[in-house]
Amino acid sequence: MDIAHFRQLAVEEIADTLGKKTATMYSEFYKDKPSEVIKVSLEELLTEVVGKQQARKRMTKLTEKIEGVKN
Amino acid sequence: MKNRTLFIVGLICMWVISVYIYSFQNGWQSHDLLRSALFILGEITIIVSGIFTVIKYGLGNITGKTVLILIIGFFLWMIGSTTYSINTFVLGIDEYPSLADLFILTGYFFILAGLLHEIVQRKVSFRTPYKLALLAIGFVIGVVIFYFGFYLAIDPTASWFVNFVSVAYGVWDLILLMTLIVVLMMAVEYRGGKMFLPWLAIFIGMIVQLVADIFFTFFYVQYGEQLWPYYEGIDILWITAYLFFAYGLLSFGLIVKDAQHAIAGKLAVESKSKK
Repeated sequence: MDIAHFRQLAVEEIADTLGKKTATMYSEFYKDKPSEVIKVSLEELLTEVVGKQQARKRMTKLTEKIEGVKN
Repeated sequence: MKNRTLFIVGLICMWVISVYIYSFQNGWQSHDLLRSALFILGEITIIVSGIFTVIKYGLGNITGKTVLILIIGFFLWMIGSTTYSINTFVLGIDEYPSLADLFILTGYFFILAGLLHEIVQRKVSFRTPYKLALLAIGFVIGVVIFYFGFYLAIDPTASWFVNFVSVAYGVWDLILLMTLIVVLMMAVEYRGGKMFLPWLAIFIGMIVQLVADIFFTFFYVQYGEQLWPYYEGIDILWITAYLFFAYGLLSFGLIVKDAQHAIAGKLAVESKSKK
């Protein structure tokens, strides 16, 4: 997995959900984190904000985007 | 959390004071301006709450843009209410429809546009059981609005323009109701998450607004003459709706504020541990 690409997608998802300023703060937080930590953190954040169902949907979409790049 | 609690307490206080001023001081004419001020204060609270949220989200975000469009709609409502109050209580002009109605009806357009913007941009999809249940509820409420907002709204003794404006309120209400059904479906999608409550508050606010609008259309003569309980009851319903809108709009901004506060805390801990 391209960690830089994954980080960028995660930050974009946060910007879409909570605005650019929050996304910038998360970008700083994610900069030296492995993809697993980013994934768990993002899923937790989304679950808290948009609920479990929407969070799962958005995480699936994000994973599909990553898979798309990989294939 | 503290800010949210304070805001809720503030809204409840505003509602209690409004009910007191409207209900128990009935007939005290010097309170007319105070009543209008409370009514307009309700609309100002929505606008201020919305501005807070737009600042928190920024305009590059879908919800930020949605709230901005909604603010424009509520601002037009505020201008409409102010115009009505100046006409009625300062200039002594008692006419329906008036310039105030033009502002209010235009405000509806922006509120509808705001809600549609969120729904379309978020590309929200729903499961069939929810769609069916909510469509059934929508149909029942739609029939009620049609009966009160269209059928009973037409006054054969009034001019075509009066009837046109009365029915226009009904048309907007009906379109808003359809949009609201989708808003409720969106809120259901967010259940368990912090976004659920603000959307639910906006939905409840709109339902209260629709009820008030139906009563207004049906009793506009009694409302214009400020007869108890029509004038007081309808205004209290509108104020109640406004406070729900204010809560909903501010909550979006508070969600962002809480998230920023939490991540700032994590960043601070990290920076401390690195040192």
